[in-house]
Amino acid sequence: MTEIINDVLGDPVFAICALISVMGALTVVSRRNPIHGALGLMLAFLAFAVLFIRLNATFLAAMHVLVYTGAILVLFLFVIMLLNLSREELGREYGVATKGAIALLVAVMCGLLLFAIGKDPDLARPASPIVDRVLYPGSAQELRVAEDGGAGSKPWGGVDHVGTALFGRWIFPFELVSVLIIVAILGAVVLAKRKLPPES
Amino acid sequence: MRWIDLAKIGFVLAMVLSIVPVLVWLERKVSAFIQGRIGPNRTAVFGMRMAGLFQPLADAVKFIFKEDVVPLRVNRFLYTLAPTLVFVPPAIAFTVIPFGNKWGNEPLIVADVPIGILLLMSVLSISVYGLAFGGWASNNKFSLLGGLRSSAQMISYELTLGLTIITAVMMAGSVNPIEIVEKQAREGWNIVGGGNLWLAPAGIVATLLFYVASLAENNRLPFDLPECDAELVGGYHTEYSSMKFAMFFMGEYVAMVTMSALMVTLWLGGWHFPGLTRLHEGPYHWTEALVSHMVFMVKMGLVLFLAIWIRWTLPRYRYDQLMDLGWKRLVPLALATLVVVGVVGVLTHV
Repeated sequence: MTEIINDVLGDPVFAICALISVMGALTVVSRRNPIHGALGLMLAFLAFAVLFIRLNATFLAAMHVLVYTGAILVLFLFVIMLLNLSREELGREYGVATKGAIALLVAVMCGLLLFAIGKDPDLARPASPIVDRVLYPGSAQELRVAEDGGAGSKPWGGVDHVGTALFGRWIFPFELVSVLIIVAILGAVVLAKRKLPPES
Repeated sequence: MRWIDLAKIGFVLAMVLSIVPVLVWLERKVSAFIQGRIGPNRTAVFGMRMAGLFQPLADAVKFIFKEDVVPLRVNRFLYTLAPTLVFVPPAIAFTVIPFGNKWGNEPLIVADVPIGILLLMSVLSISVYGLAFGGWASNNKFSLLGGLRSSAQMISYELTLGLTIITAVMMAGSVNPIEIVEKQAREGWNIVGGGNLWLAPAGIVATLLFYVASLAENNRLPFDLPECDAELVGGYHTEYSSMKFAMFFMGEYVAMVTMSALMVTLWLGGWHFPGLTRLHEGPYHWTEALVSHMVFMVKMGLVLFLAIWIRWTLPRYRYDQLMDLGWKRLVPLALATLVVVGVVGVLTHV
């Protein structure tokens, strides 16, 4: 535990960004005004991007801001602004009992996650090798090569490494995901274009 | 942080901010020329008129001393934040543009980061929030609709922009702006295929697509619906006045500068000029640094002039036409260009 505290305090950028992301996330779940929630989510996303950069995942950081902050969250905002719900329409607050039950559930889930991470010696190691393990899920030797920066002087997690991993070893799951997304888009189109029965 | 980084940051900031008033002046003068008028020529300092070059200064003074009207029941925080969100991201995005080759061993770029162009894209995508928040926080239905309209426009044209940027990145084989420009200096500009003549048609098409998308990104005519005050009651900045409006206004021009610089970097060879071999082969004295910077600035100026020329020549698109153009024509065309560049590039071994 003291080790973790020392790690956090020894890395002010991480400490500040972690604080911002947690506070942003708390804003999202605690505010009744959806615009404030969206702002909090935006702050959290930007802090995540900095954390990704700290983990050497520069490509992921750029894509995260570009896709989530720059596009998806803007669509959330569109919906919020177009509906422009008043205080009454937003509905009643949950009771203390419900809030407590939700908090307990979330705490248990987080605890389970932390427990699982603590059990796995590889995941419990410092951050950047985790990124490595995702990108180079091969043998320990491959992992060592990656740790030495074997693929040239460029830092891991850059565009070239992610590209090689996505279009090399992981090409099949990658293409499956694209099929999945196409199906989702087609589904949305079918739902939006469906002819409603008259007088409904 | 080294002192030279600070110096470069200061230089780029001063450069971008001092281009803006010149650009405003140029816009007025060119529009006057195209419409057969004289344009601003009355402002003077100590009796010197300088063809109205002091007009932007007078504009700035006027903006500062205007009353800052804030409508009733606006969301103060977001209302104040919105102009900043429009103004700051394009200025930050300029950090990854190489504005010259080298001075000694020092590359003339503020931040030489491995993700380069991607960083620029992601930073620029933040400025959508300025439009959306500005429209929503004004507590005015027309502003809200204007904000939604402009943000939808930006998101739509960002697709075309992104696809054409990927095309340029594929031609250069790198996302690092320095490497992109160096590859063009060695082998040929991307607009003519980056040294591979088979790719020249695709290069020209992609350059045009990029330019059209960048005009739409910056809300420039023929895509400037926020300026449409007679039919649409303006856009997201209808309720803004004084310096807050000036921030929106300047943000548009800074975005134009950044987009033109990106266009020069990606397609028009950056600081490279055919024949001036010393620019990329060295020695990298201050003279070469200065000349490479001037080449970059002249190219950027020409691209900016083209934007002004287009603004005072073409009529405005209607909103549905704008969306049709973006989604049904430009995006498929940009995708096709991307595929062509990929296939032809592999077949002819870039």
